Amino acid sequence: MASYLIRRILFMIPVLIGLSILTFTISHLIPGDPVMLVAGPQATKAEIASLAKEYGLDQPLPVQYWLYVTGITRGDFGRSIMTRRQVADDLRLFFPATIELILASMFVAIALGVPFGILSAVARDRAPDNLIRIFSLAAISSPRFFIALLLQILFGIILSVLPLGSRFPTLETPPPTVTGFLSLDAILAQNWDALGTALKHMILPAFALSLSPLATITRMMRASVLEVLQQDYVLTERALGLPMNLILFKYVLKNAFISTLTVIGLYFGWLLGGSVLVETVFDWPGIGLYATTSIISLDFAPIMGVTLLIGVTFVILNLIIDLMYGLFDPRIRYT
Amino acid sequence: MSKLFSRVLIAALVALAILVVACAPAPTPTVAPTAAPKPTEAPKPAATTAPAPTSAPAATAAPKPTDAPKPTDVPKPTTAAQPATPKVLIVASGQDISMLDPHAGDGYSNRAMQRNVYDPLVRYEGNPAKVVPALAESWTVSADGLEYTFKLVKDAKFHDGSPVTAEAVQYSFNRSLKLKKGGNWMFASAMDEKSVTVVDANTVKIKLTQPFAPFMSVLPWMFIVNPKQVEANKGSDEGQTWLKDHEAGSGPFTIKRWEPGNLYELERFAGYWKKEGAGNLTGAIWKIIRETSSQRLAVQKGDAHVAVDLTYDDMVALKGSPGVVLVMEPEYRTFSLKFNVQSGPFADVNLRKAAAYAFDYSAMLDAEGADHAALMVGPLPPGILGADPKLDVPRMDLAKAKEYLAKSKYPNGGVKVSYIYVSGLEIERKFGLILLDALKKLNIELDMKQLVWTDMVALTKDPKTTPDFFPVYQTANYGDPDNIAYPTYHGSQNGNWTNPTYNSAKANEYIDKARTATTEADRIKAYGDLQKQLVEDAPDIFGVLEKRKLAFRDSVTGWKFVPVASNAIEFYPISLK
Amino acid sequence: MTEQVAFDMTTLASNPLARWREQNQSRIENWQRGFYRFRQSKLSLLGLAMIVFIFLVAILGPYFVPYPQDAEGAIHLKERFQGPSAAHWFGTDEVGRDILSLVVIGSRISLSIGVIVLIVATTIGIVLGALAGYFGGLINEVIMRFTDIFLTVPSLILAIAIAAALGASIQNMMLAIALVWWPGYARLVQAEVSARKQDLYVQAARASGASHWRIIFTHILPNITSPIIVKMSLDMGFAILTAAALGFVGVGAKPPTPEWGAMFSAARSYVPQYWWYPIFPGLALFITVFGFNLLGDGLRDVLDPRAKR
Repeated sequence: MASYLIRRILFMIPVLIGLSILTFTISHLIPGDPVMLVAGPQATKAEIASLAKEYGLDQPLPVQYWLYVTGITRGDFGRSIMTRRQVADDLRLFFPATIELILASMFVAIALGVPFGILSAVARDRAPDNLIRIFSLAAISSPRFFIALLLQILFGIILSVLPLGSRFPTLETPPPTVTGFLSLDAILAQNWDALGTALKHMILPAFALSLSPLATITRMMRASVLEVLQQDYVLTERALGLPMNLILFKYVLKNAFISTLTVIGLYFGWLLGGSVLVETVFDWPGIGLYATTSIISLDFAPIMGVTLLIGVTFVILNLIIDLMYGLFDPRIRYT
Repeated sequence: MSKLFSRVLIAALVALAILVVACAPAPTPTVAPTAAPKPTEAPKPAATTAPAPTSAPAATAAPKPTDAPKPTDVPKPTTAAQPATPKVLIVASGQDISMLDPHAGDGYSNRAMQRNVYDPLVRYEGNPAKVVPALAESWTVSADGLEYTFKLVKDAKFHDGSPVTAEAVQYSFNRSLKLKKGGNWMFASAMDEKSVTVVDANTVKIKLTQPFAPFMSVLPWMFIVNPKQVEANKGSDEGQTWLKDHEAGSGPFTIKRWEPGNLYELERFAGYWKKEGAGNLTGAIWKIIRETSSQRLAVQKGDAHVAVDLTYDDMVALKGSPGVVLVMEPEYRTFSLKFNVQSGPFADVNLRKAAAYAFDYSAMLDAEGADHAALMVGPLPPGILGADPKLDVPRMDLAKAKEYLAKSKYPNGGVKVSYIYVSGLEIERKFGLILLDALKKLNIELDMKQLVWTDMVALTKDPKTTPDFFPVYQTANYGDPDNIAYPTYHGSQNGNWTNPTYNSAKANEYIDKARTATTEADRIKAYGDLQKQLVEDAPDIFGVLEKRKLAFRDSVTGWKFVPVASNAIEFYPISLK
Repeated sequence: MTEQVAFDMTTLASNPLARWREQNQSRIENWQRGFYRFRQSKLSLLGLAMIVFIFLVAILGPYFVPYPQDAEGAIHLKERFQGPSAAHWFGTDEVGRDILSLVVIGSRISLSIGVIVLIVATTIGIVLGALAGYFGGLINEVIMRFTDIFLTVPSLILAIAIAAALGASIQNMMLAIALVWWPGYARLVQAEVSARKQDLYVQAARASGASHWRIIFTHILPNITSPIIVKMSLDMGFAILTAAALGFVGVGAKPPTPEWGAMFSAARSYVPQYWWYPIFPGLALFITVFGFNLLGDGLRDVLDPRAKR
């Protein structure tokens, strides 16, 4: 186990180096003077010169890359022109919001996808199955920003039962920051009103974001339930007259966890990407919104920071998920 | 089965813990040079009767990941001193507070915050706007119009408790003159570092280096900073880094929350020197909502009390909404499309004229709401001193446009020109579409691109990077033609967004003459010559004169329209029902 | 006996089609079975019908739309924000352009983006994947680690970053999407090629002295076209969605190009009063992607027997 972990972590190193080269290259594709971009509009000539020195932008490319990487390891992702702050600080402020939204949408996807999948399998080729299959294809096919807008219009404007966007009402003071997850912070502070408010703000964006994983989980559950139901031992037990519910519970759930884990692994990165669109529509102050607003201003330090952060998160998450397979599947041993 | 569930639980907790560790800040922040030394960050609470601070803030302040030490992270005096229900005004705006430093940042959003945390010597009031006392309770002007003596109010205090003195006024002017940023251009040509002298603790004298008729009208934009705090956080840039998101003022409000890109919250400063005329606000939030339509919805739903960037379409949509009060008032607010007259195809005056004659002015008026806007009939807004209503400005005339095109270096068109507009500012995108259609008739291609305002400003530093068309809304900071003429057409302003490229010796001469002339007739004459010159040179497509459009919730009282930068809202007199 | 052989020989020689049939017996049967399965699936047929319709609209539509000049930027401010009517089936936008015309002409843009992105991505992916899979060893390691790096970052984020760096335009957008899209194909092709490398017919070809190039292109690749086609058909919809997302974020098409994502992004400011403005580009996008997904789903069942459920 330990040696497996070490090997996995060692394997991450070339990937992370490659990732940093990738973002470094992209940020050098930008037309225009990077120093001017770093310095911002109000900088004087002297400031620009000193910034160029500070950031090593007058050095040859390999040196610049070295400065960039050593900067990252120190947590220095450069400075945002838009917020005029260190990108690392901005990321720390916005990242928890995105993770919270993604976890919420994962929760929605699992809570709906598992029962949908079971239902679909049990009612194979009958009306509910067909309906669920069409729905899941439609869910995958719908542009997230379109769904987001429709939800916003329906629940936010026409019915006016849910907030239009943002994470917490501007006026109310959020619970003290501990984890950065508003809902968790509210629980920790035992502030139940705040918890309700936070969840209310989360419903629409989480749902809009959950559609694709929801569809995938539904499909995977359907397939794995069908497979289980064909197994000899299950057929035997059914013949013996065990209630269907018990059989499902006994054999299907474990599969459900494994396939769900796979989906989380597959979808986490995807959701981080998808959050860009949903956060933009719902004005959700996460790294996605941070990235889109930075794009408009061609503010590259944040864009690269977000790209790197997401890449690193993705790599680490996949490691965790690989390790977690072992917890559920005793056949997998790490040697 | 229970074993399985416990495993799930453990696994979930592990995952969560890792994520939390990954997101949470390190216990000891390592953000170094910008973080100011702790002791000076916090203005001391003014309410002296406050109970000793409890341990509460430690819990809230520690995990905050931001580097900007917030003044309010320190013990708050007490909540008992505040009214039972907080009254916080929410202003929805699309423009960030990029530079709170009163001597470096301009643009209406920065100005709005500066207005509320700092005090100027004098301020504007009424419609038409008059200059009334603020930190200066009275002033005298010498007969030659060169020497101004201001008496300061005695009990004014900065937020750290130190008094507002004549030295602070002198320090502020000299800092602005040194930085040469923000609103400095307004008075820089008439002042130098020796202009401001301290007579006594409460008296300050300003001696202009040359006559400058609108001097009193620019003073409301000159804010007084606390030298003690600025010096303590001076760094290598006169404290600019610190002041961009910290304040060192004496104004009625102080900073409470500062979340760039999201919201900026102020709270009332309990020890403010003035009491009369105050509203019941305990605080105010400048909330960034980039799309004007979202601002509209926010006011409609009551999520915001004021929206400041609305378009005509938004106003139409809001009409009749319960609980919403619409304000549409004429203000000296002009829109024009500035040509890059130095670099690129529009260095050719005939091509500029061709474009100006091809442009569909009536479409532009329709986009603005024809019954609420008027086309500009020259460079100066009508009604302002010296504005000539009978200039021969271009109107859509394709035959004439093609005539000028034929005279230009591009008789068959075939060029591509750029138009960069403010992202989220829907009306400028529409103007771009109108322009695109017009230029196509001359076989000129328009390349439309959006950017945030601060980046657009950066482009204007150099004619090479300045777009061929640069759209500009301009609001008079003071009700004098100089406020339009000088920043917009004087060659010394090249490289600023107000006038990136136009530089004509004749125009400069007329502007200078009008600036230093002492009789009104001389000024009118100079402005008349200037306007004729500008129509001749066509540095801009003169666009529309737009009304200020604001929407308020009807719970907002105490706000009065003043036709000078009315979107930079002053919170002091406002009450919430 | 000998007669029979001779007879066979002559027919084979004189009828290449029969000969081809003979040689590809099992493949043809697979296809026939697949086609049967495809026809059985109503959803796949629906998908096919939708795609045919959308392609027809894209090819012929622009000649029939009422206001083609609107897609090039003609404006009619007096007619802005008219609801759907006989004159404007889908209503008009904020400068009075006909939304039907824009959506129809926009279909051309979206489809061509999808097609071009996939062609470029597949080409890069096939070349790199085949090199890696065929030669193995160090080449394989280098190429696949390089691929992994691209797969580390979610494709949408990476495409946005690249497109933003290149500057907004349709070409740059296509390039950006293609640059993030190839790794999937590289992986697929690498896995398939390295699996086929040991197959008997490849060994035989190698023994007969065929060049590497020839082996890869004439012996291996034709045998792995099915999974590639399945992946392409499933990816088409997502490539179009990604392009729309880039347009939505503002790094895609420039005005007045009527790209659906960019249109939707502009239209978002005008809900709910002018609901028709975002709804029609959004629906067009949804229907196109849905059609491709239905079709792709059906094709997978047909062409990729391993994925049979």
